[in-house]
Amino acid sequence: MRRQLPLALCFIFGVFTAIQYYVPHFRVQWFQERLLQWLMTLLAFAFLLGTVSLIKVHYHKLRDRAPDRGFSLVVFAGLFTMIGLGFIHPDHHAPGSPFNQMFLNVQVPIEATMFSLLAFYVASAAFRAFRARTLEATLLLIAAAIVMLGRVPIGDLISPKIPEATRWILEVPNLTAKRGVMIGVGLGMMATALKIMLGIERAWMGGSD
Amino acid sequence: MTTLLLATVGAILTLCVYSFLYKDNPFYKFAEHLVVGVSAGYYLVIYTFNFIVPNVTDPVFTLNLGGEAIRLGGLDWWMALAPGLLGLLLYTRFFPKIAWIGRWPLGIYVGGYAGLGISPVMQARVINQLRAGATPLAGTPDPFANMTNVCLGLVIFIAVTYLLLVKRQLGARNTGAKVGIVALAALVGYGGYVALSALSGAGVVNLTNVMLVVGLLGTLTYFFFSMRHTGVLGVLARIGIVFLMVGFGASFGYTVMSRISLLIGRVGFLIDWVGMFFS
Amino acid sequence: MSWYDWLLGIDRRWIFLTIAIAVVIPFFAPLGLPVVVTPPVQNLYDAVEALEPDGKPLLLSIDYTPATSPELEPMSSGVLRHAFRKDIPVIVMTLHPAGYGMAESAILAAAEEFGKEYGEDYVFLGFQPGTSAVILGLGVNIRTVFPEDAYGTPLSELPVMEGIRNYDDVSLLITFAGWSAAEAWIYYAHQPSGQIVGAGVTAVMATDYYPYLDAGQLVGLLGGMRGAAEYERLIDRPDAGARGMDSQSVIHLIIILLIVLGNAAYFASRRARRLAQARGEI
Repeated sequence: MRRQLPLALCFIFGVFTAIQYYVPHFRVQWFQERLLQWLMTLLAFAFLLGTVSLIKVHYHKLRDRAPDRGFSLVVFAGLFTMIGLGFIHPDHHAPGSPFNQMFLNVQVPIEATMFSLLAFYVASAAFRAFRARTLEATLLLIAAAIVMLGRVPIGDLISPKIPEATRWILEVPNLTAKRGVMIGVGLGMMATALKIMLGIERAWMGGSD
Repeated sequence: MTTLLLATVGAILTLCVYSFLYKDNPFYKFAEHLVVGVSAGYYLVIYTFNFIVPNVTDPVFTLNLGGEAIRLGGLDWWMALAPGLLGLLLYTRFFPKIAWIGRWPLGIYVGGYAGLGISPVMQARVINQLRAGATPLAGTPDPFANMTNVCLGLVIFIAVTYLLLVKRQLGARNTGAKVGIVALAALVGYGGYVALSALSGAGVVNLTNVMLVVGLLGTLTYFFFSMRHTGVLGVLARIGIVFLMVGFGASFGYTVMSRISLLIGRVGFLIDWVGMFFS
Repeated sequence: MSWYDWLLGIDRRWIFLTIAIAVVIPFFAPLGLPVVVTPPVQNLYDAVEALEPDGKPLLLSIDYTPATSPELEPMSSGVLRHAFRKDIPVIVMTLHPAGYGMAESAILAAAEEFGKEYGEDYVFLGFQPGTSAVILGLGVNIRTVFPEDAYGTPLSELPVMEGIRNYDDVSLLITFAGWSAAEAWIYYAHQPSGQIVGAGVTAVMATDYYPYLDAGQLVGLLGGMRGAAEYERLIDRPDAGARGMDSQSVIHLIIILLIVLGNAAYFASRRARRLAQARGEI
């Protein structure tokens, strides 16, 4: 019951979703349509579970008087403000609502800026870490330099051969290398899916019984 | 005025995040924690009103599915209730004694998604890619002929130089001889380029497609770990590494481009914000 | 201290400052360099251009988050403007909860610019969780996946959704994504249903999509801000994509210079160390 039933459910639903592509009978398609809805619902509930976990983590930080507990209050302030604006405001999804403004003027700038920090670190890494120590590394750097020049307007200005070489790199060596990786990863993905369905891979069940 | 005020909030938060470039500090930590809370709250509201309400609570409690009335205890009603109940079972993980019940919906979820992927992934990533990779080696137009021939000419030049200068150690103590050998290798490379151009120009062989096929075989061989990479397999794997490195180089170039684009977006925002004070 | 030791020991914050200055300057002193259109972008443009005005709708999945919006927002705006200019009905949706706000702001701006009416000319379906389940579900029945639009209106009350049941009733599908959603559209919409798919992806992802493009699984591809700039050029409406190209040019040159300098310093230092070793100094 504790381990066998979930494994059996995993197998049954896995086999059904895998073979329904090849059974165009209307009853199978009807059930598939409903099952997709079930999977979406489970994902939605799983997400909400994540929010509960976030609250738990920061609640424990506050309760245990962790050194940086003040920031947990910031998390709660952000979380409950959004929940409040979303649930209490009658028209929260209307453009220009406080809920939307919080998203556009708090979440968007912080998230976008956090990712833009990477521009500085990639520049620093280019200076400190990218060394042409071996033939392979040299090839990588030459390809990178050509692509970097060929994909900006200044590359066209320097020589029309640079964008031409960039296109060649992208559509010949890059294409075939990525295709090889894609095939390998694709086979790996299928093997993993089969292992999950057959109960060989059980990490999703957790450690205890 | 409201626009300026809201933009100012965004700009201040942007600067808080950029302050991390100098060193880690409380302003950055504040923005970091704020975005965790705000985004979790935002997602929660979106999940609730976009999915849970129209697909679960509306049909179950108000008997309304997409604007149409449904019957209490009817098939549609059960089809909304059942996944909702299964979803609630996920929350048993917070009660250690019955946490194992949470594995039932998880089993359906994990198995269902695993099965869904098998056929489309096989089609998209394996079958269609192998089909597209099996290109004719002659008799088709080659838009990249010149670039491919230049590349192969360069390979010949590097190979001859390596063979004579490094392997055979010719002209080891004479700079003039070294220059002569490099010039000779350049001549051979150029000759190779001319010969290959003549071949591909005559339609005898499509060298770009040959490169695509050899590159694919090489890359696949490199990731084939069931046999030792020696002999032909070793050569193919080596060719695979070369293709992979050029591919990774292209990815690196694009990664730089991507990161810089994000920075440009934020700098553009800050410049527009400053401009608001003068307009 | 030798030049290479000085260079190798430089505080990285000087590099940060150089990058910051180099990004800002072209905003005030634009170089105005022309952007040349590449075939993947041209193909996507042609696919949209070939759509019938007031014919089958164009399905846009705006799947990006704020993190990648500077690259992808100019693309989605460009395609929306192109579609609205041609009077093509547009259905917008998202597979990411954060895409909800991004999609809404992009579509509202474009609709306002072209005076398009909600429900008549375009519709925003909102977000549904589950990526592959959503995409497969749309192939069966859109109304099962989205019983109502983002604002709670049943789809049956929206004229633009009249007669739209699944992919058979959609002309072209374009996804804008900074994560694997674009691949999911290929797996679950193109493979089982034969839906024609185009994609706008971040530059980081673009190189990985060339095999799909070559195999005909994608009709066209916009890669990063450059892809957006090319599309803006094609629709003759320069905006955020074109605006960023000058800074992009300058920074790329600087990064190449940094790689060259870093390598020069590294090899000079290595050579000096070897010579010192040969002399027995270390």
